[in-house]
Amino acid sequence: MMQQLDINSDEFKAELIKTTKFTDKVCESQGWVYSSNEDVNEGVTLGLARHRLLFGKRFCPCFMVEPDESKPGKFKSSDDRICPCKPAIEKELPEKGICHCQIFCTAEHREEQIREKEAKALAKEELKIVEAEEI
Amino acid sequence: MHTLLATDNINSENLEMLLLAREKGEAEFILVDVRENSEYAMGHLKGIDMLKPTSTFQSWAENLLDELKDKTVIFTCRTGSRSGQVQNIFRSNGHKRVINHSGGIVSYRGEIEK
Repeated sequence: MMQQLDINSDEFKAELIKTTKFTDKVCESQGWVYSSNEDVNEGVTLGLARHRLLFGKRFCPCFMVEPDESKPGKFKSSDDRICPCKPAIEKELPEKGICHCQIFCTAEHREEQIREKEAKALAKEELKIVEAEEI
Repeated sequence: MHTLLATDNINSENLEMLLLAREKGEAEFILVDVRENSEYAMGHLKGIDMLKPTSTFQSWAENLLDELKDKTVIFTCRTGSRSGQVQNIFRSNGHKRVINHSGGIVSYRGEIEK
């Protein structure tokens, strides 16, 4: 059975620092930015660190990792998704502006996310005011 | 509600509706989260019945398939990829009522618990 990792261990914390440096570098080299959703970014970074420790590679945390039967002792994931994955580079970012995991996006997409978030917050506030007036 | 449970994939909006219906006793299904323990602890859909991480898939898959063979099962994860893979494996091993929550928790706007 696959071991469960202690995310509070020193080993995991050290890997998390390395993984954050890695994702910073991915942004820099690809010309991407982080999504505006910090919870999502944190979840993906934790998942990448976890996979690095368990499988030796930063497999995409959104996909299941399985033993590679053709290479004993090695692992693989669907579409061979190792971060930064080919589908993100070739298709997801150019076409949708954001990767499947939703950690990396284009600057334009991030701006759009922020605008949407602000519009939603504003609509919520307005709804509160209308409800208060009705009472 | 029965139509929603007869599909292969369900979006977040419809899953939210199904969970509300289940609370009222109008729908019956088992909701299984296949993410890891740490992801679950950071937040999960209100209404999850079981946590079955894919990292330990080999240890639980056969028993769960047998345990839930006569139930409608909805698998969920972060974006719908891992749950889709688990759905495919269950389906190819004979489970007839297994649904994938497409979009996963990142697309869910219903109640999230920690």
